[in-house]
Formats: sequence, C-alpha cells, structure tokens
Amino acid sequence: MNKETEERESFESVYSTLFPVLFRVAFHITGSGDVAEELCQEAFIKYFSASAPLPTLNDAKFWLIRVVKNLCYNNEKRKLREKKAYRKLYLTRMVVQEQETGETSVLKDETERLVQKALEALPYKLRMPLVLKEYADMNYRNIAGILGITEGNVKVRIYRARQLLSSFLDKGDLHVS
Amino acid sequence: MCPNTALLSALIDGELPHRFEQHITDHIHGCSICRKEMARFSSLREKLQQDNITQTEITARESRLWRSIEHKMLSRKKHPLLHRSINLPLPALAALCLVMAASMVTAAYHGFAAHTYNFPPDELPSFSTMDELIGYLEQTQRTGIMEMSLPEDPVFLFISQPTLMPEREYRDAKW
Ligand SMILES: [Zn+2]
Repeated sequence: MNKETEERESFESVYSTLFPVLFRVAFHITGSGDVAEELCQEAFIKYFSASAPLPTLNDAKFWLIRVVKNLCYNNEKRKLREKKAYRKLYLTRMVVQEQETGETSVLKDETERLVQKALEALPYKLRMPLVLKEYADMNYRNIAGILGITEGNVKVRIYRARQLLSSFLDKGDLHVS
Repeated sequence: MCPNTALLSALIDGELPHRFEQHITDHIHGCSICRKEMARFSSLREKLQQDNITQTEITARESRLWRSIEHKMLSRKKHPLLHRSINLPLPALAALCLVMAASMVTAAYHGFAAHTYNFPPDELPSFSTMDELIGYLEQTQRTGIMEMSLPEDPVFLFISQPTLMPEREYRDAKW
C-alpha cells in the first residue's frame, strides 16, 4: 500500500469515527445543522491539511474538538454582533424572531426544539462545558484542558448550566431573542 | 446536613472522589430532598439525550460532507499554489496593494500603452505615512520605482490571501 492510500485511509477512519461527535457538539452549540456542518468541514479540512495525521484517535479528537470549539466561539461572536446590529435597526417594537433559514430541521419535533432552544439561551460560557459533557462524553479534566480553565471551574459551570437550564424548562415560556 | 447541590451534579457525572461518593450516596439514600435533586439532574440529562440528533441525520450529513471535503482536498492537491494560504507581514501586504494601486493609477491615466519615463525618476520623494503616499499618487501622473522598506522589526500578522483590489477601494478601506 502506498503512502497516499495509507494516509487517505487514516483520514477516512478519523472522519467516520469523529464526525458524529463533532457534529453533535457544533449543533448543540450553534443550534443550526447547516452551520454545524460548515464548522465541521472547516475543522476537518484543517486537520487533513496538516502535515501529518496525529498518532492516536484520541489526539485527533482533542485537536478537532479544540478547533470546533474555537470556530463555535467565532460563530457566537458573529451572531452577537449581528443581533446587536439587528436590534439597532429595529429597536422600537420588533420582536426578534428566529429566522427561518429554510434548512431541514435536525430535531424531530417541537418539544425537542424547546430543549435545544433552552440550551441556546444559556450563556456561551456555561453552554460549552455542558455540551462537551453531554454530547462529547468527556470528563472534567479533558473539558478543562480544552477550555483552558480549571477542573473546579468546569464543575461549577456545568452545575450552573444545569440549574439555569432546568429553570428555563420549568418556566416553559422561553423567549429566546 | 445536605451536601451542596453542585456536588450532586458532579456525582451524576461520576466526578466525585471515591471516598466522597460513598458518603454522599449513603446520605441521598436517606434524604428525600437530595433524592429529588438527583432525580431533577437525571431527568435533565435524559431530556438532553432525547434532544440528540438522529443517527439517520448524522449519516446523511456525514457522507455528504465527506464528498465535499474529498473534492476540496483533491482540487487543493492539483493546484497547491492556488489554495495555499500565504502569511504576509502587514506592511508587505499594504505594499503589495499599493504597488497594484500605483500601476492602476498609471493605467487609468495613460491606458496600457507604453509610455516611457526616466527610471528611476529624477527625484524620488519619500513618504512616512500612507496618506502622504496616496496623496502623491493622486497628484502625480508619473510613476516610477517605488521603494518600500519594512520596519526593522516587522510584526507578522496573518491576514488572508493577497487580493487584487481597485485603487479606490484600497483608499476607502479602513485598515
Ligand atoms: Zn439531603
């Protein structure tokens, strides 16, 4: 087997193992399947363009999750900027509604959308550690490493995320703007 | 005394030291308040899991994206130069734009027909700011060799790929 075929196969196996994890994380952070797909594409292309594949699948997972985390963060900042501009334009009485992008819904029905909406309403700082815990199956130590915070901090943020999330869901009248 | 609810959240994640874990589990057994809290955390986790994306959705997106990535990687291999991102120091990028701008100014005044000038021009003004340089380019119909020196310790910033831009746009752009 030549080197190119070997490399290709290694990439393919990294891709098929890690795509589901990365996509779930990106989706639950951004709330959009299409955006999540775009971010995953960027992350994988970055990975595949690097000079050599990382030695273990676990290394690749950390590397890719870190990249996706950064991309999600940039996306979040962009969204906030857009929202601010939008608010400036329609300050008076516009109700900011979720824009229909025409993409097919990733989640099955409305009840499920509600949980995702509540998740999106969490501050980014709390949302990211919780999403990594629940959808990327990572322990506090690894999450701390990815986010560059202490394990104690991870524990507190996940706890606060859960408290806030369940209060959103209890109220049931979530207005995400 | 009941443990802090933050500890219960960590317990759900299996993140308590073993000794602690046993102690708290024993307490929860005999405490209805803590049992209720634990049930709340468990149900939240369940909701989040139910809210997960279906396998069908994942598989569909996975294969679609793979085709797209493969296509992008292949075209990249064929034209390595077209796709390689180039790191340029900021001043160099500005210089590049200016050189392009300068040639466009000349082209705009004289068309592309050959005009001869003295090279280098008799006196070559020097500029310390971009504004001066742009001002000069606007006033003069002549062009010549422009020497641009980079700062002694240039700060290297990643900008993007060099772009060709009309002189007017370069002038109006906020750098
Ligand atoms: Zn108790």
